[in-house]
Amino acid sequence: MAFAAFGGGAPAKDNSASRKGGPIVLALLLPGMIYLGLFFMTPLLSLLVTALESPDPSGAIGAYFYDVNFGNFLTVVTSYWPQILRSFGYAFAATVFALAISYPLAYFIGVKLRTSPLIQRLLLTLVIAPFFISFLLRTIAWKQLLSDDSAFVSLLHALNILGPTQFFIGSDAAVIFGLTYNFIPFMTLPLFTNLERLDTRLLEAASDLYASPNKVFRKVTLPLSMPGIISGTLLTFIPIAGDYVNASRDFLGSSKTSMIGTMVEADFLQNWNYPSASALSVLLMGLILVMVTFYVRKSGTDDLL
Amino acid sequence: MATSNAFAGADLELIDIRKDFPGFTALDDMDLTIPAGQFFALLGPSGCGKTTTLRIVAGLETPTQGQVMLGGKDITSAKPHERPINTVFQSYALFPHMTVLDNVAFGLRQRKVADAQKLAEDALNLVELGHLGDRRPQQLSGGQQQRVALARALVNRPSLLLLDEPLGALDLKLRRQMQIELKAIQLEVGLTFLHVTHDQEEAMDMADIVAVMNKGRIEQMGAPEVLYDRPKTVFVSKFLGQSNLFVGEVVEKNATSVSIEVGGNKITVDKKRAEKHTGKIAIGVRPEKADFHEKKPKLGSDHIVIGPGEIIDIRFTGVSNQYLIDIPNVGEVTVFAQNVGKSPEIALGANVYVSWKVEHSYGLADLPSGSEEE
Amino acid sequence: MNQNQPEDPQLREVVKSALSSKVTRRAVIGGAIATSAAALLAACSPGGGKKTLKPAKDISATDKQVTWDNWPYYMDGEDGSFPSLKAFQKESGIKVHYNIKIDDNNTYFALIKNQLASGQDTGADTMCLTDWMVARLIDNGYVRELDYSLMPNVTKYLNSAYKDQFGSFDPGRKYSLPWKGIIATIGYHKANYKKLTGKDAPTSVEDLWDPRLKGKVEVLSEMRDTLGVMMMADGIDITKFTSDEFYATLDKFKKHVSSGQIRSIKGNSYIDDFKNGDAVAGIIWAGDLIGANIELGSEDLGVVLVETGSTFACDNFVIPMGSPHFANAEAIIDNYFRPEVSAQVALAGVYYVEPVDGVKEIVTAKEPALGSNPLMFPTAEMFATKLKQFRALTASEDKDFSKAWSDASNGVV
Repeated sequence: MAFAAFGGGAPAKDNSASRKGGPIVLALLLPGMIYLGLFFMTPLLSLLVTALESPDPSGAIGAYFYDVNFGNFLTVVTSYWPQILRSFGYAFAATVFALAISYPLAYFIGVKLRTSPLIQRLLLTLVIAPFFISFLLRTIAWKQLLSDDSAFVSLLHALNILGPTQFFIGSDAAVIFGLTYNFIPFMTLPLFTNLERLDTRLLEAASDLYASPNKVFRKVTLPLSMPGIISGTLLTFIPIAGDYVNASRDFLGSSKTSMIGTMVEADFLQNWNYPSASALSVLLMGLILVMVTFYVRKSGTDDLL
Repeated sequence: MATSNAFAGADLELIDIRKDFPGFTALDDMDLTIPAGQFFALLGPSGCGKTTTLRIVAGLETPTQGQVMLGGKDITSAKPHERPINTVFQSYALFPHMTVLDNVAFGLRQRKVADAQKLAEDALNLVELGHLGDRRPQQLSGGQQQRVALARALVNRPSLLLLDEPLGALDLKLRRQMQIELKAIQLEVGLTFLHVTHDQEEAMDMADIVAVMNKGRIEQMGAPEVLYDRPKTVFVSKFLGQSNLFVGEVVEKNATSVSIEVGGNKITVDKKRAEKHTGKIAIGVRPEKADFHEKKPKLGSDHIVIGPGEIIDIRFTGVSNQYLIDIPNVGEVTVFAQNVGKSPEIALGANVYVSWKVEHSYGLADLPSGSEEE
Repeated sequence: MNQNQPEDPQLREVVKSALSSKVTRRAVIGGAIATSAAALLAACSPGGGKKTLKPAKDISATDKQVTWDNWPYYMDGEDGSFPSLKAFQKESGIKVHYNIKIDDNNTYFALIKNQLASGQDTGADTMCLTDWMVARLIDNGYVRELDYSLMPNVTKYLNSAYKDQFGSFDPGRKYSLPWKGIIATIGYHKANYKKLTGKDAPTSVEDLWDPRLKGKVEVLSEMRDTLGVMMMADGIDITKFTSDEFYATLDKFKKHVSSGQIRSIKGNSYIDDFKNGDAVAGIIWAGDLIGANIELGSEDLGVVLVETGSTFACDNFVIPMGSPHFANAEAIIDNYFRPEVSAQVALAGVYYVEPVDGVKEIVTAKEPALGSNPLMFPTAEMFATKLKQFRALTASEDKDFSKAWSDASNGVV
């Protein structure tokens, strides 16, 4: 399964302990199984059932009956394909930016600061600190800071980066900025836990073997930190693809930045079109699952450690 | 990038090297010359600065002052990857994300050597691991990993090969075997080897020249047998094998020898085998060079006789017995006697005299700690 | 009832029992495992069509309490003092639970829709929702017919304009009563508007499409308000328009969105955008701007009642079928139809339109400026000519228009 990538470690070769089973093991597993069944499987199946419903013949808004209507999937793809593409485009861009910012940061904290654990812990706390404040509040704060009359936008105008009738809030850049900012810790922390354990003796060995610092990074550091990069990118890409707050018109977005989440929200809350909202959610899940599987296969995590 | 990789190795010269770390000085005014093609061992207890020396040579540490010269060229400020030097690390530091063969070929590929694959395979064959090329390092045993690390360094034909306690993690039997292999490989490829170890037997066994380090300095350097036969300091005499040391004022001096008086006994050393000729000095003798007698032996002036003293401990170590003799006013003296069935058997508590040839005495430059004030 | 359920008779039986929340062991075992699993899931999932609900048993007489869900800024003493609520509690002996729980019709509805649809207690005995939402609730049979005999003040003081003119979705006000009226019209930031356009104030909807305001126009996400104002500007009578007329104006709206003239479409927090400069002019709720000016102690924001007309809508009391405190709910509704009580709320800073006759006189006596503000107390002439209510939509119009509006707002082509 694709999610083995999250473990980052070597697959256990010896499963004999778990095979022994026995009533105690089963009893210990039971709460987890019940939890998964009740709070994961049931809603998921409910979502699938809803995604297949058809509109009530009475035409009443919000009325649907149980059906096997795969047409809902076709409808959401044909009407929302730009939003679907945009979601993955934003998610890709924000993940790349988050990686570009987090990697040096995590490397600095996890490798360079090993000798001063106090500063290391302090910086790590600073990375997480903004998360003691609500996600929404932080995003609203950014909306204020980047508003049309802000110093930032004035600067962009002065530098002619933005035309006189162009502004930052509501642009693709604003949404990607918000997504990057809000999900950066999900990138930094897995990278940090990986790089913290990076064996620097291997880097010395590589430079001893004629690798320039650049080559040491590409041939040794980077491949060894792949498990961290993979879990970091998955932990950012997946929630970003489904995010609807940053791109929302009430936050950093506009009518031109709608993502899949925006459409799910609109269909569910405004249009009372539950089958469409469900079909879109299922589609999002399916697409992510396919992408993640492909990504993990392609990056060959099982080769790593 | 290194371009000249002399096949025969190059001279390494450390000039006046000092390395300070926050709070302590790891190396102090260190001068060292290793001639090309030598198997050179840096021997010392942990914390003596030998690994720091090695890392400075490899370029992994920058000296606070001093110069590192290789083949006459100053490489002090060269980056590790610019030095024609390779290291076999104590931890082996094999890349876990590459196959064994890719590990070995790594250096060659960095230098864009043609035929890297073939050369790496040859190097693996040299250490008899040709059949394990596509395994991962972590699938190999410790000894095998060590050999891969060696092959990975050797395949580059460096001017100088650094070995950082490469045998430390191996068990005794494997260690002996690897020592023999390493020596054989060095002879075969003719490179300059700088081997860092805390194992005196390993150093003596393998090296052409051994430098004994202590507290950031080289105490004494030379061929193993010379170091053993004529240690010049208390530290060297005790770190390399065992020593009986006697401390006393010089009471007699002539053209060829110097004598001290210890607890009523006269102990003599050849002048040319003594570092100091006046005042309070320490004279030593190796336990296996000494002998003991139940009656006071009648020996010429080329022998030293001290005693009598009581045998307070006897240990059977196989090929020889180790006797500990307590001589009043002198101290405890250790004597090794070959286990050749000599009779009569000497029992614990017997009173004996200890003797040795003057030519086996050596005079040290310093005094054992605790005897300076007497 | 049958039309909303699966065709397979066996499955239908199971679904029916699941929906009526009487899933007996026998019923589940009786069905095939697959179908019973589907039924259980179905019970959890949204959906299911219309049902005829019956009012819950009223226990008001023995259980003296009432719960009222409302929007923020709608009650005097929202810091927790609630003087008018406390007075009612004291006078009637009915304990009031007043929850500021609604900040969007749809999100609030999403919270309670499963209980509403099954006729169960939603936790609130009455709540104030906007006209169109009330229309949907009435259509679906979710709310209870009111008993005017318990509400003498309503009978006496309910302004007649709210019965028919602004109650078209509920003829005769059988199910709902207005709480406050809301005027949607053009608002602007005085200084910024002058800076960008050189003019003092917008005078028409057309002024919003001035190229110099590009990216600075913000409109409400309420379809009926934004499109209503725009349609009136196009000369359409919003009390009786055709679907073609609706789509014609919607096309104009889409054009302004895609050109970037309209940058933002918001349901709340839009006042912040006027304050921080992100918006300079747009279609807004008059009461919000009056409130914001008073809160800021300035006259930065201006409101214009354009010639072509403004929309007028109400938030209305309804009582869900499942409420067990029907009489208590009516008692508190009736309490706020007493002119002196409503005036107390208005004077405390709730600057929306009062549907209660006699309030204007009390307010004018105490604060003449407030009493003469036509945005709080529209004149009969304004009611007759300038303020219009978006007509009630049929179920399928509601569905199609909402979807078209949502797509236009979200940039779905």
